[in-house]
Amino acid sequence: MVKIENLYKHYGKFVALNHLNLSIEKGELFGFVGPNGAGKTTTMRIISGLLKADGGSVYVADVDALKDNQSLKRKIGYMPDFFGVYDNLKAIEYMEFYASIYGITGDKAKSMCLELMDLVNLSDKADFYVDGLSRGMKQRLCLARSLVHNPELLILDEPASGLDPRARFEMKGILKNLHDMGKTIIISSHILSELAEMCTTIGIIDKGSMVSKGTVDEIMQKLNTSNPLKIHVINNAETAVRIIKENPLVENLSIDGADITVSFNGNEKEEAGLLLSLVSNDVMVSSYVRETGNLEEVFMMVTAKKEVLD
Amino acid sequence: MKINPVYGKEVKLRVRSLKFALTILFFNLGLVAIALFGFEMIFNVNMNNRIDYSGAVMVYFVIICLEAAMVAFLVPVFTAGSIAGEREKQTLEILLTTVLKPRQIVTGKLMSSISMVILLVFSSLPVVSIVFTIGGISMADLMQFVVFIIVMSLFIGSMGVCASSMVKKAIPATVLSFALVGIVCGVTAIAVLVANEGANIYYYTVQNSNGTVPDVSWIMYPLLINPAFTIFHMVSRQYMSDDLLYYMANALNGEILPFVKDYWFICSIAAQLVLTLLFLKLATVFLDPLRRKEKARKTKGRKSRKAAAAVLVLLLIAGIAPAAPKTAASVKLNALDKEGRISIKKGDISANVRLGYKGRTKYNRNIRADAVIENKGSDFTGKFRIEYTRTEAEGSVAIQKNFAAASGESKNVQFALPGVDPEAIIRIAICDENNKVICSEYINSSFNDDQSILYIGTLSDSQDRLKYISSGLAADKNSFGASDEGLVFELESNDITEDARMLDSLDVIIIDNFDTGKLSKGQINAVKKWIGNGGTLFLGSGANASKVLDAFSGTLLKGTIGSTKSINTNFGITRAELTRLLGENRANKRIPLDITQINIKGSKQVLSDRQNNLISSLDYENGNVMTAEFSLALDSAAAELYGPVIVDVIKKNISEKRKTDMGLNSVKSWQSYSNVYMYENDVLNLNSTDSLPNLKLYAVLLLIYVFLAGPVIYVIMKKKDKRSLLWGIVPVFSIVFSVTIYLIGTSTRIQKPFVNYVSTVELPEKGNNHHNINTSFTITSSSSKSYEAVLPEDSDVMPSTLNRYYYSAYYSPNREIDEYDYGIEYSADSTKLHMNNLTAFESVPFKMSNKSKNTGTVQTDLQMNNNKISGFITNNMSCDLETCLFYCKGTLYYIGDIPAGKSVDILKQKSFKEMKYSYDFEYQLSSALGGSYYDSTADVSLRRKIGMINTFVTGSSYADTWFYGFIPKDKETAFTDNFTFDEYGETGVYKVVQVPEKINGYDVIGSLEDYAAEYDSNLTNGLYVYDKATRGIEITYRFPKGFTLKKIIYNRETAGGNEFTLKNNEYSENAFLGAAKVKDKKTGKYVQILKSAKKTEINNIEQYLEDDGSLKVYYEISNIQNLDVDSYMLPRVKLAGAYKKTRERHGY
Repeated sequence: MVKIENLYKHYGKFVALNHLNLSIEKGELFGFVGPNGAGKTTTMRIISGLLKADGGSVYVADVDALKDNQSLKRKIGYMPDFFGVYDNLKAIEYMEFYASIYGITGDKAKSMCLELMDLVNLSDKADFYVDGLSRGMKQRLCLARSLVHNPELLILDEPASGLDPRARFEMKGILKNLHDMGKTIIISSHILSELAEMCTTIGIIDKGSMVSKGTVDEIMQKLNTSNPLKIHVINNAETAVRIIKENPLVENLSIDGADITVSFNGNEKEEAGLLLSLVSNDVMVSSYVRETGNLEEVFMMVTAKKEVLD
Repeated sequence: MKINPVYGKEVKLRVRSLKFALTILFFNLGLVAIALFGFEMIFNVNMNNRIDYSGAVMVYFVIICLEAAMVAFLVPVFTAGSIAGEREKQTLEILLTTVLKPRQIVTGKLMSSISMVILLVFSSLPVVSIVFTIGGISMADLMQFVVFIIVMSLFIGSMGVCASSMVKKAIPATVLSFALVGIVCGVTAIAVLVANEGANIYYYTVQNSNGTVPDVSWIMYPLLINPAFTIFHMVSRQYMSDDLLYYMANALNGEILPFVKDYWFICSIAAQLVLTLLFLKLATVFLDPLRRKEKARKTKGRKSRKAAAAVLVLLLIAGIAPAAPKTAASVKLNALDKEGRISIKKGDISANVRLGYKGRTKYNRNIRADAVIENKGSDFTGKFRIEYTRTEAEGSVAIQKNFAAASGESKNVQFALPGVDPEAIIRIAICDENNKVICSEYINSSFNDDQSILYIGTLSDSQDRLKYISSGLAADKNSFGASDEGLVFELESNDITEDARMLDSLDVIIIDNFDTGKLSKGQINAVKKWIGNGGTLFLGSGANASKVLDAFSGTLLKGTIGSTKSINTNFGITRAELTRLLGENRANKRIPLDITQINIKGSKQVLSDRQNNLISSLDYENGNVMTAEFSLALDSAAAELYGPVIVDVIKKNISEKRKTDMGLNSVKSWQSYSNVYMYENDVLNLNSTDSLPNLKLYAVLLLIYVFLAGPVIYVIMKKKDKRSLLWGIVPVFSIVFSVTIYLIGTSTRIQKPFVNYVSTVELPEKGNNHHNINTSFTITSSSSKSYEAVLPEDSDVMPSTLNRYYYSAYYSPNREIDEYDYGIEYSADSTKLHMNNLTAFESVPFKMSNKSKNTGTVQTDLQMNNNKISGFITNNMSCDLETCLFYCKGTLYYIGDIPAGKSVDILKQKSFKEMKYSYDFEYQLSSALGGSYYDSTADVSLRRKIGMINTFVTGSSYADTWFYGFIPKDKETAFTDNFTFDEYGETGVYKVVQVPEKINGYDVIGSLEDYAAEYDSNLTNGLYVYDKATRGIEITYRFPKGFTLKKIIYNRETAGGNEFTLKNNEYSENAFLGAAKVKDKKTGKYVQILKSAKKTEINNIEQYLEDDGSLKVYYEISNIQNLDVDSYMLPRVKLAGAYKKTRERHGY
């Protein structure tokens, strides 16, 4: 559905996207994660035709998104992270306005808009003025709005930001529904866990490049391996450090007295191997544990690790 | 049709708020207030002396200019926020991710932003339509404004939208769009001023006033994109007659392309639309996220902007390029040669043109224009035209006459020009059939303003022997007081034109020893008409009597020609008189003379010796015909001795009308300079108040409309939740009410030009002929569109030059063809009045004379005995008369209606005496007629009548007794038959009446000042005392021949000054203060005969007369300090006496 190759974008000297590659299959609910300024919004705006790329290619449903803007816009529905609504307009009229943009007018537009509002649980708010709706309702309305032309791809930039827990929950439900309906959805967030629950695929972006991409399990797996090993030795700490450093799977370590924290890029068997070599070298290990950190912490680590290594 | 979604949403949004209805309400309420207030100011008769319809047009222009200003201010505000506002509200991005193209967003925003403004303008159409209750503005004019306002909204709106898409925030966008509007409107205008000033500075400093002023007229082309100038120009075209562009270009020392000049409005609309598209394109470029410029990046958008800028520059260059600098156009002013000639020529056509007589023409008299057009090429049909400066404005008046000259033919084209301003610039031109000037020359008229000197034309086969007349006029310094008393023009037979008006400058025509049979019937008729207007024809006879007289016998002269004999004569003149005339002591010796006895019926002797009548005079209408029984071609000896006698006879016997025209009757016209002034122009501008729009009705209608279109329909639609329909309903209401007002307005709308006229008929003493009606009229244009009025070919019509000295003449010589304001075209089958370049409701004055349908006269059988009048006035006319008045020596009688054939007893009429303290005829007249000219609520017809009578009194003030009446509307005359327009006016008839007066059986011959003959003209004119003469003035009074003065009466009634009523510190315009003395012949001492303010009646004045019957009076003038007297005068004394048995009149 979406195929991005070598996407490059810079703002002056600042490189926003650094030869980004990404492909999203049809029907995926793709979670796009990364810290603020990583390039999520830039990528989504380029996909949505709001921003011109400086290099690379973007294909959306076989449409060259960088060239055929009009065809692109028929395929996508976009909901920005921050958006306004028109005062003085009723919810249904708000919907009808966007329907009219796609040439849908009259009763047909009305019934379709009501259907969409029903989909986002706003059918009882059709005659409410838009500026009187809560933020969550506005968000859902905006989502419904982005569906008026039945796009193949939905691009939602931080849809949950600023929402209370209940609203987030509702939003999740709606997105799941949409996913079930077969829509391809790209959803961005800087909160990985939020996406983990519903996304089929997750991509992590940092500094304009994809850091990681895969199913939630794969990511979790990856993230787990990158969790640090916490080792507490009672004696021979120097020996322990030497042995740990020698291990090729160790990426990083820090020492705090007898506590050694190790970034170990290995599986359970290899973990056991490291412990064995410590013990066999007369290091008395009192504690040897892989930290089961949450997604966020891991995410932080992943996106920050290069800096630490540097 | 698919509606732009953005536009659709916006208009839906705007109509949501009550602001929508309130804006319509208050905007239109404001305009209604302005319109009604304006109309009230203009058409309230209590506030205005006269109704000037053009005020309605001014109100219209005020309203449309206000609307234009509103658009100029509101559109940038609305549009500047349109896109920047979406950006601020963060709704723009969403729009951009939809399939909406930036172009659609931009146009949608523009349309929705200006739709409110255009709706407001549209909603104001019923208010604007109030102008249609008067007219002057056509529906097309209003549509032009609508087109203008839409284009202006689009243009300014496109600037606003462009600014809005360039700048992220609404407020800076608003500032930017005002800046853009300021640049377009301000910079283009300032550039013109700077260029004008710069060119002048360059000329004066760099060129040191040599060479030409640089042509900077190309700076006008950028004005094409200035909407403020577009409406300025539109208004000037719709309202003003002046060609704004022409004058501007002229001020910038050049001219602009004719196409651009002629179609400026269309060109500027087109230019502004092109720029609108460019601005919209630019806005699209800025809006399109994929083309929007980001830092240091080349984009397609930049290319577009480059292209846009290039087109803009090209557009300006395209405008500028054709106006390559050239030398400033200026036209050389020529002068007439000594004979009053000038030639114009182009190709095979040439014209030898003469103006006036040897280039001379008299003050306020028609000017002869005469062209001999020679055609050396193929057959040519064209027009000979003279344009002269119009006195009231920069424009000019054209008079032209059609001619056809076959190959090799010469054609004489003649017509008369009205007396033009002495400073006037005259353009003489030959035009082709389509009025296109082929060749022309400009001359500075610099006509002599001769007023009080005689113009005598002589037509004779022996002109040399008439030269004594011209030397006689130059030599005699005794009367008239001018250095030159007259000029003699030797005429040829074609100088006697067939158009009497062309002879107007001449006072006397002498025909002697000339075969008048050579003159055409038309020429003879013209001479007759000229005499009727006050001319004096002097025919010499002698042996050639019938050769001269025959052509005039029958119609003009009736009588017999007798035998010829030789006599010896001294022309009946005494030695003393001859000595006085010649200025040297000469014997009145008899000389031989051949005379032919001529008996002209009704004529009276004016010169005779004891045996023979020598010269007689016959009055004919306002003029007279003198016949000499001898040939005026005297031999040199006779001419040397008696030439001055002949000249003296001529001077004394010119008509009273001529004397008045020449200002020689000023002694008698003392009244005219007190309170009465020329009314005629005012009277002709009195418009009818009968059919003014009913403002209350329109106020109600407009208020209903404003509330209906504003809040009422809004509330209704809100209840039905169909407020979007307001976009259609308000214009529909607007159109319905506009049409309603237009239709109701039809009843008062002035849809065609109208004529205001005052016609006057001078009734003859007796007779039953059709009268000559002299009509002054104005034609008032109903719009600024040109039109013409076709009159019968014999219409004796000319432009009038009223108010000629109220305005200074300015003329820009290099005018384009067809830019004269109005004119007359004479042709064989019609006379056309061309109204070419006039303002709506502008009145232009003409004069016409024609024959009335009415006949007969008013007979007066009145006498005055010892100051009491009695007798009857009889209407012997073929129609009733109304509003009749009779005035006799200070008393005004109001008679009212006199049915045809009926008599009225003057003693039974209501009389109104002169005012006690000052001469105020107007007051008398107002009392008699029950209304004042200045009372603007009075009936217009009555005011017109008052004005006409005042005009008559002013113009004929020598008459101390007269009758004035009016012909009823349904019985009117012939003037109004000439027009298909509506006519408003009155036809007055008047007659100056002689009422014989007797006191104690003596004949009263008038007042002393009428006979003042010899006096120092530095001190007095016979009546008024000039500042220099505070001590003594001596005047010799000469009375008619055969009259012996017996009695003088001086009292409150005879004294026209106010010395009898004057009290301390009271103001008086005129008064005699002092004493009058005569010389006692026995003692040689001076005897006081009267003293100011002391009633005197002297019955034995005879003893003080000189031997020749004259009276010498010595006046002592006292300067009394505590009296406020404006001007000192001599006492007015009534004279009574007896004629010898053979009564004859010696006029002057």
